[in-house]
Amino acid sequence: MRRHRITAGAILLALFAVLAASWTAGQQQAEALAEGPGADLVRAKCSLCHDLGHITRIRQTREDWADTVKLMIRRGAPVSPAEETILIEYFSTYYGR
Amino acid sequence: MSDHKKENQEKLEVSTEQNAVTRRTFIRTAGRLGAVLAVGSTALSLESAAQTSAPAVTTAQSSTPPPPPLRGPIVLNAEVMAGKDPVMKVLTERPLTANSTAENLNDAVTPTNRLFIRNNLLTPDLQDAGHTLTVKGLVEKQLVLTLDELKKTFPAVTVQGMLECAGSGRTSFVPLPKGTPWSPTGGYGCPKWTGARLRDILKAAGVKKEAVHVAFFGADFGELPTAAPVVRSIPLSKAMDRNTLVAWEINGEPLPKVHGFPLRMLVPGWVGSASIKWLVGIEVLDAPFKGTFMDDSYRVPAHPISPGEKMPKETVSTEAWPVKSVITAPAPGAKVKTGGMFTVAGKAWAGENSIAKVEISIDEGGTWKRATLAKAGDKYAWRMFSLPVTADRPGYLTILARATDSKGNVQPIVSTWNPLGYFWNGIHRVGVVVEKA
Repeated sequence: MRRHRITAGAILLALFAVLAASWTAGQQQAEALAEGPGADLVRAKCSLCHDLGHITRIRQTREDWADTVKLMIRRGAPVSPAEETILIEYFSTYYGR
Repeated sequence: MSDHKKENQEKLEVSTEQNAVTRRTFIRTAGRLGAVLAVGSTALSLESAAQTSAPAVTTAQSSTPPPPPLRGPIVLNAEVMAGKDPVMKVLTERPLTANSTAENLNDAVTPTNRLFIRNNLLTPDLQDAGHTLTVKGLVEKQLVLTLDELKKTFPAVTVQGMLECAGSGRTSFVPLPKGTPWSPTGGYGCPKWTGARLRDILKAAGVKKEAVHVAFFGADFGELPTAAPVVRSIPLSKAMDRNTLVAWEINGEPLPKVHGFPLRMLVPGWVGSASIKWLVGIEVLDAPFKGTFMDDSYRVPAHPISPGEKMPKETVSTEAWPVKSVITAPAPGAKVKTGGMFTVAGKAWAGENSIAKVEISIDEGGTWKRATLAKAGDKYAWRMFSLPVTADRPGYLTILARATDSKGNVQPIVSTWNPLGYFWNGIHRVGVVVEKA
């Protein structure tokens, strides 16, 4: 019985550690994204399917970013035309080349 | 409500919605990708808690509805990685990608726990019971085979064959193209695969004369139901190659879930994306499959372009890998002694061609010495090479390896830049430190 309690405690502790670690990782990733108009939209839409590192790692021209956003929409991203404009503006401002 | 107030109210709702979505996304991420199995159910309850504690989300009008349930069970990344060697480095969590670098790929046959991971979507938790493979399209007779039928009907063959992501080595390109940030010498492996020859299955179905391409469908799915499925097709000639397999084993064991359990394609020597995992369908077509993973990805400019330039209109589909070699020993930063002999070893491969020679240089390419090639194995297996080398002066020393294939193609100093960063096969260099004996 006691052993079970210890095991349960250990599992809870491990769970907490894991959630804390995931939280930290999530925060770090969120912090890595440049703040500015559109950043929240990027977090809301792009991270539905992929790490934001796919964005922050690269620098592209406005034209390439526009193509990338269109491609993501073709691949199922729920992005409206108005949001598309915000995203392209954000990417070319903070991750442009 | 005045227009001004209404606008502010809408802004507020949008911002609340975005925050809530971000939070939900995080919780889902923590739940689906958390480091232990047990997290799954806890995170699920957290997710529902988050949804009930944020009622504004359900009332706000937005183009982003709450994430729907997944199409089926998945294997969490933490569970996948628990089955991998600690030398494997996770490159991206969503989708899951992981690799190790050349010095950890010194085995003649790549151990399963060191084989790279490249998912496009989630890792589906499939079962072998009830799993079927459908063969349809331009065939005389559509087939629906259970795993047992597949294994009983067609002779099993084992081949050692290269599997390499098209973007393998991508981080060597300047400027860095978008896509998985594969390590300069990561994203490939050469395990032994067991399965049925695709051509035997196609012959049983009876390929019609209009057939040109063969498409492969996997059972994986994304976070959103709108996520485009990953479908790839290959020319009929490659589909009929005796080494192209519908595989169920890797290195004598059933495929791990992340590597396609219970069934996957193996299209050896070609870009890895052709080797569709979690195989459920094969369709014979009169043209290449039309889809975003054929038309938007896995393409290179028909003619070289300037580094950083936009993808031109004229492109070609990526197929076989070009000639490439890597040095697996010594490891970068290894210490060797002056006057003492050490062995430079590595692997070379060349897509549809074979390896003619591998040369080694320890003077930045001024002079080259031919390495000894190990006996050639299966057609699409890598070729091992080695050369004893003596360093005659102390200090930093770079070792270069350069392979030449049977068609006379030589590994380039730097690969041709392309917008999606495919086919990195530049000469590999490893630096070691020579100490006075």
